[in-house]
Amino acid sequence: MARRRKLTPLKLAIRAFQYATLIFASLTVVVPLWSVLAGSFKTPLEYLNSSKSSPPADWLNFDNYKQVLFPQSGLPIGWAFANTIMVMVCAVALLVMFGAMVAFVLNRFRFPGRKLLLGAYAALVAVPSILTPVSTFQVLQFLGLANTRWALVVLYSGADIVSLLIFIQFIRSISTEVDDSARIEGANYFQIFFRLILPMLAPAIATVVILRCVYIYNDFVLPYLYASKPSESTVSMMLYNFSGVTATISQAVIMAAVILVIAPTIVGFFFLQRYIYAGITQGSVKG
Amino acid sequence: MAFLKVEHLIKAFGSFVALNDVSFEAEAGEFVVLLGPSGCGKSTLLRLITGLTEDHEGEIFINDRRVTDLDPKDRKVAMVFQSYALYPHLSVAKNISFGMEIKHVPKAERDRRVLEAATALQLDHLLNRRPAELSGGQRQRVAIGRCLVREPDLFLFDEPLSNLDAKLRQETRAELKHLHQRLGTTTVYVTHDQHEAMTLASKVVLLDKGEIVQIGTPMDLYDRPANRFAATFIGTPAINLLRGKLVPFERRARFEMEGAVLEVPPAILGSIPSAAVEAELGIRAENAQLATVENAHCVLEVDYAEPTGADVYLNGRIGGQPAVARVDRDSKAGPGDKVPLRWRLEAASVFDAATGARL
Repeated sequence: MARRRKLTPLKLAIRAFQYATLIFASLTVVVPLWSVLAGSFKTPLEYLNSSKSSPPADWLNFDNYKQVLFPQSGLPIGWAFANTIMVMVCAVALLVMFGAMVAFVLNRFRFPGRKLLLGAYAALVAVPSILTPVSTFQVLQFLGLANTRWALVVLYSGADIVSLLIFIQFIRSISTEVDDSARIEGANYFQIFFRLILPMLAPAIATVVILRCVYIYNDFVLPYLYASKPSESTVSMMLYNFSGVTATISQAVIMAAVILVIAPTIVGFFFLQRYIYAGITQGSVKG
Repeated sequence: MAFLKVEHLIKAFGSFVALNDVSFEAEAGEFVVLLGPSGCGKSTLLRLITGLTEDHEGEIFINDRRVTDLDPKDRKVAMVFQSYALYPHLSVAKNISFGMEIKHVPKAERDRRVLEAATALQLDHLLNRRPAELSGGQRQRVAIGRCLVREPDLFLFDEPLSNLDAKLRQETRAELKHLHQRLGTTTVYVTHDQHEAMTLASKVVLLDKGEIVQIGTPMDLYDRPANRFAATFIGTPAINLLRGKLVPFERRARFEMEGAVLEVPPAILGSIPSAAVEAELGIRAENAQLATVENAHCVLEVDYAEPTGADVYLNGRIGGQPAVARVDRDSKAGPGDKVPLRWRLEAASVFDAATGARL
């Protein structure tokens, strides 16, 4: 049997403090979730009369969910999910394609202004995002995209500096001898990129896809500004429309909608957590 | 006309001249090794031959074709890289057939050539594996297989053994030599390892600081090095360089140094100097023989002995200058002993002490 070291009073106090902070931090996350979950099963009247953290009278009361999924008026939440998935798939596909191409060019070719270009990507981070909506809106309006899902596709598909650096970091680790070898074998730069570099970038692509999907799914500002019509709404915008001042539906129904919106991210996290950790820590450990 | 002809190549990167007026030729079927220390321009020279590096002066001909302005893919060359540059996401078969797929070779023909190359290289049971599942030697064979199916005029190798451990390096080197003998393809091979050059090459091109120092068979370079650099770069242990004076006397020459006066055989000198010159006598450890005090050329004061199994290397000093002598394994000489030695002077070289050039 393993021998255990004796706990001194000081160590015991430190251990107790560690647990207390962990429990407190966990509660701040778990209690609101619990409150939302419990609320989603309450009737409108029960919701108003009971404590926010009390369990519902009937865990099998799915009326609120029915109302969200199949409303009598307005659009079902499925519509917003479809919009979100459409925006996510199109934007992330474009982002991966352009981001990987830009990274390939920046890493493999030497041309005047190369560093300036990378610097420009980094400099964009320094521009406060609150300054740009007016001009962005004008551009989108000019393109005829304002107030449509396509505005979001365009805005999300621009490669941000983080995605770009993830790609560059990864491409740097692929020997240029691979390119040279393919060139001798007769491949042109497009063939080298699409048939060799892009497939070899799979781990980096997984990281970028996960990070950007989480961002797009959770983002509220861009849908609010550029695609606020109910028919163009993403899930975050639809939730907002539910809870808007004009909304006449019960808070309990909104709770059901919130649970439906959270569920995919939680399920996704359980399946992908290995990749999420790997993606975020990548480059910090080796590279 | 030679099979591979490189004429007056000059390549500069900015103000740095990587190659300065380099010319050499290789006959069909020859195994040419470009040898030199790191940064001597040997890899640049190889990349110029492949066409991967552009913008240079001079001309390159392969198999009677001027390829100077051609793209790498049109030069009919195939290259094995230091990292092997295998495509990690593709199977061995796909790695080997990649170039043919790019060129839209029909599938049946592709499969036939892949199987042929794989069988020749004993890779046929590995065709469905990924490179990560292969050993270093197997990866190298895949890289060679990829070259074979292209049926190139010229095989190029860029330090292909430097990633392998000592034992595997020896095995793979033997395999390469065997393969070259079997296929007979003209090969240009870059290495900084003089041992590799000696064992593989039919012709060595020795480079230093972007210029060719000497071209010849491995034995030419070993026995008659063109200058001090060539003499010291080739051979283990390094050649003994003993400093002294080359003094003319009676239409012959004598080498005078502290502790020895040696009569230099005229055959090893290009010409007899008209006056005494500062010089270095280059002589290899294996050209020493144990002698008696009466017939000795000099006396080696032994610092330490290195037995290698077959023989013993005595490290010490002659007239205060460091020297090594290879002697019979039965020699009992040890630290502090004074060992009389006789050199086989017909195997020596004499260099100008100032310029390093062979005299």
